[in-house]
Amino acid sequence: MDKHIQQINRLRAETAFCFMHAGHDDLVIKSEQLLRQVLADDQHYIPAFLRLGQVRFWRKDFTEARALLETAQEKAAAATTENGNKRLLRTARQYLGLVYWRMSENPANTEAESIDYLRLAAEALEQAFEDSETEKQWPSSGSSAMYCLAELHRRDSARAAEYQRRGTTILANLQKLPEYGRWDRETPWTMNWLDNLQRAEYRFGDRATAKAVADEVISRFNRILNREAGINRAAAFNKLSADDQDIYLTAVDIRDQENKVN
Amino acid sequence: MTQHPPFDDGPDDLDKSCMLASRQAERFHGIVKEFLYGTVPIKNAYAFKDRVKPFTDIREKVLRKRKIRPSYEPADVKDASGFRIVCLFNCDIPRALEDVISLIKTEGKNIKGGMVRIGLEDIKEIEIHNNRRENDPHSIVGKVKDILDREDLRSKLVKSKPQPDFSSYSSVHVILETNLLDSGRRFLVATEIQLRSVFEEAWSEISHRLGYGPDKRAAAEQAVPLDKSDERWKIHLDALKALADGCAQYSDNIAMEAGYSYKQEGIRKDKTLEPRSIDSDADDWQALFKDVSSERFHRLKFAFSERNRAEALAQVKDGKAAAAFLNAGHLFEALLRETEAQGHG
Repeated sequence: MDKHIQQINRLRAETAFCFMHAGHDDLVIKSEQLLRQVLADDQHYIPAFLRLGQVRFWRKDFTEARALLETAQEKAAAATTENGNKRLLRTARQYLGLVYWRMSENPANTEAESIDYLRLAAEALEQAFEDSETEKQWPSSGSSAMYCLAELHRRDSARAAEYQRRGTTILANLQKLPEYGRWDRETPWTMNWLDNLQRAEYRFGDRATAKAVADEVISRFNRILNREAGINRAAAFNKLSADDQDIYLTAVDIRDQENKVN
Repeated sequence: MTQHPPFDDGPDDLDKSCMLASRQAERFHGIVKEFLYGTVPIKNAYAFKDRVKPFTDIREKVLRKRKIRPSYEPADVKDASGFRIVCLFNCDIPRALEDVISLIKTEGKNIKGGMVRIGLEDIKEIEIHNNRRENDPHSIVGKVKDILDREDLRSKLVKSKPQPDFSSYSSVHVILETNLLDSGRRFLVATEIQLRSVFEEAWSEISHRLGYGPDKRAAAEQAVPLDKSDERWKIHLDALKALADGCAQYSDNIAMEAGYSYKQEGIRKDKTLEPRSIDSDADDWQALFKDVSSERFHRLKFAFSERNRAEALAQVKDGKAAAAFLNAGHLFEALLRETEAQGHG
């Protein structure tokens, strides 16, 4: 390919990558335009498939995101050399896992379809976990994989033992992290990771730990709700996103279950 | 307000068809409301309003339209069901529109278990009312057109009606039209979704209440009695519009300066993934650009180092990462424009 076009495409991709993370929605739109221009010129520019898939995922267009990310994964897997596209492959698998996970939540799915998507999600996220370059990357792919495995364990009882084995393996790895067991806000654990951990510990690990994580989740939400609420906590709760409401209610459920047992 | 005469002789055919149209509009409205409620564009909106035209209003509109087009039927009334998404900032309107389109695209086929199916093909018209020049940086027209291009909806864009000079109305209207199954029969039903800013909404409400505004007839029906003999107040209403537009623009500027971002709910599960460049595994950019001038090479080197700095800030979840990415993005964009121009030269 003409070197001048290669240079332009590289600059388009770099501009798009930076603008995607610059915190302005207008710039994300611009990134998408740039990435589409790259792909119009070069159907072998794998990072553009990945980044565009990522943007379409942010835009909740899971169908196009899936197609782009699957292409990115296939092309990256075919092209991977020892040092080649490892990072790209891991990122593609991570996002692909998140896309399948979201697709599993489509209310129009049958239960069997949801389970199929969750299985795809768990597999992609487990692969991303295995592809981690450093232990610092474990929490993102590992905890997301455990969320899917915990859901599968709950909903697909015929294969519960298999999910238990896979979930326990990842959990055992995460438990090796020095910050595991320290849940306060000074540690790197985000609310989403904590949510994944409370579910995983409850299903595959130690329920006392699940309750400790749930207590931290509730405490963090209480700070948000008290700050937002004024005098009406119910209104503040309604303003939370559906994900956040689910995280909060799961934590309350785990805490209450454990309080009942003890 | 225009009143429908009492049914002295029972409802006539027009009454009956208007009643049916009203009933269908009411049913469709309920379904769309349930579909929209609690979704991202509504949660991110400053306010969400809706109304269904009563059958008397549909009848009155049909009679009025028939003076110009005798074949006008109750089913031709496209705004019997209406929704309004009021955005806090003018710059939120394109994103809210994109969210509405995305919602229709991804969820529209499954409303009420597939009883009602809405797809992008059911978007019949999109109208942009705007009072800014298209090249004005605060104009939303370009951004809306970009979104329509991406979704292959540009053909749905209709030319906005000419507006009076005094004070132009600015918003985006989307008309959805589909079939609704009722008692084994299919009925064509429609709804209009309007998107506008909070300042536009405030001005429109005031002008509406005074019986003056984009829809004078509807406004007049709800107007408070005013002394119409002296209409100097209209000049002040125009001035108020200019002020409202200024406020909208100023708040957009503040939002931009403050790093405001239209909130994205529902996609939080990916926020745990740190931004990492994937183009530079082999760090091969130096080979690709080795023939460029030394000045440009140094600028490239600086842009890449800024990008690496932004990535490092993101790793430690430093709040300054976004600003660093913005800076790096601008550096790359300038180099991109120059490289593109070089090709044309």
